[in-house]
Amino acid sequence: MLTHWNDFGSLGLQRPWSSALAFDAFDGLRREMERLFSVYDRSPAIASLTAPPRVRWSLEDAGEALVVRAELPGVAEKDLELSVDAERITVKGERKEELPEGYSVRRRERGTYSFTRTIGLPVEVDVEKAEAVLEHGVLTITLPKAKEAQPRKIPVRTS
Amino acid sequence: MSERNTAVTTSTVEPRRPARRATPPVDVLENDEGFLILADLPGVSPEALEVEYSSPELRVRGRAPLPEGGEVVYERRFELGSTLDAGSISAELANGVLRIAIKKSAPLRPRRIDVRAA
Repeated sequence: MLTHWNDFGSLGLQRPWSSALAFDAFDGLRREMERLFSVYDRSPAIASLTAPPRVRWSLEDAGEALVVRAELPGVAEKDLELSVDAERITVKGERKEELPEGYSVRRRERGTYSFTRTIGLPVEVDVEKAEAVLEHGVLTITLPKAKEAQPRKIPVRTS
Repeated sequence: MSERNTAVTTSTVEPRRPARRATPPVDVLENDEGFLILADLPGVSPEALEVEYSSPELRVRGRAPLPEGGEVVYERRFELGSTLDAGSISAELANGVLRIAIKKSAPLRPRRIDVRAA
């Protein structure tokens, strides 16, 4: 039944949860982990879960502006620092430990991290008009291109 | 002649953009009263999130737009033991992190027994 699920979460949780009062909750979890790793060690899905958390970035040319996007779930606005000049943008950030008092950890995949990322911009941007929004754990930075770098329309002549 | 000489290239086929699937990383925390599940769901708005319980399975499913177009579907399932109070499940989404709280059934929570002096 459950043994065929490729979802890490359901398998790992099954034992400690269904015997929430058992003394071997930790052992059960560890056994499950060992079993899973031995079976699914080469599965890419599991590899991505066990790798240290990393931030996913993208840089997109949206015509009149460049858009930099970073996935930063759980990062507070106050723990982010942005600086931008005409040619590059630097983002510093930190995700802090989130362990409410009195709780102990049964499974940890999310982790904490801090990072500094500098991205070279392919065209010159207008720094004064740069805007950043943090919404639903995604940071979106819009960098309008400098006047010279703006796309321009090519008029079509008819003969 | 190398094809690299061609300054203009194009494709007759637009790239396909099927929904990508992803397994969100989770933390599971426990205290005497119950469990707390934290899941990273960047880009998922409350409207694009479903949390469903159908005994014994708790399912989380959220959709988020991708910058390159299309969307990513995050999905994760949990099996809840019978010692948990399914009626108590509550969920909250903030900052791209989903928090699900589940209480243990009352008789199973540790309880302090007062000792009366005779």
